[in-house]
Amino acid sequence: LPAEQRQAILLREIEGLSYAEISTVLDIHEGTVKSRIARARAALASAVRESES
Amino acid sequence: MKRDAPHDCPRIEALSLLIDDEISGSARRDIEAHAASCPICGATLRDFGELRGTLGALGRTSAGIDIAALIDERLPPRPAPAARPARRRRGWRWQLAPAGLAAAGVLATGAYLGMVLGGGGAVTVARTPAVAVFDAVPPGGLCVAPVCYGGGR
Repeated sequence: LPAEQRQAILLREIEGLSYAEISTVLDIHEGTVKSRIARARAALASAVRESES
Repeated sequence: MKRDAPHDCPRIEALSLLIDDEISGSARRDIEAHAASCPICGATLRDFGELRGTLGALGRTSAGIDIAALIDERLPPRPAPAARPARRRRGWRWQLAPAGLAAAGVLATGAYLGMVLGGGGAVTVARTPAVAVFDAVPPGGLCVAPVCYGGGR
């Protein structure tokens, strides 16, 4: 994953931060947080599917 | 999302928000209804849910190793300069300086108050006749000036 997506998804899934908190920590807009997390999830899900097939 | 989604499918962000419970009400119901009938969105939603469980479990997993000890073993032995403890001691003394000054102030105030309240303010010196010759006016003399006694000019 690109570093920016990795940061966002780890803060959300591992650290359990809310979108607003991630926005504050990374100093980016909340909308950017949402899109980065969504793209990270899509990329990870795609990687998992490819590794399973 | 790599798979080709039909145009009426919700955006990937909406599915992600749904997983995070950031969408509620009718918007949530619409997406859930769509995902129930759309094989692409349904599969993506399931993937996201499984991913969430997998990553969430990672956060609760402990590595079970002491990484600090492993790093310490690999580091070269540390030289122990004598200057470091000395610097630390000096810092420790400076930390006590305010307390020392405060204690000295309290003691000085106490001594001053003791002198004033106990009558020590008027210090009396015991005078003995033997040292009277060193006074400005010798014993029996009435004049302070030395010319009175013929010694000074």
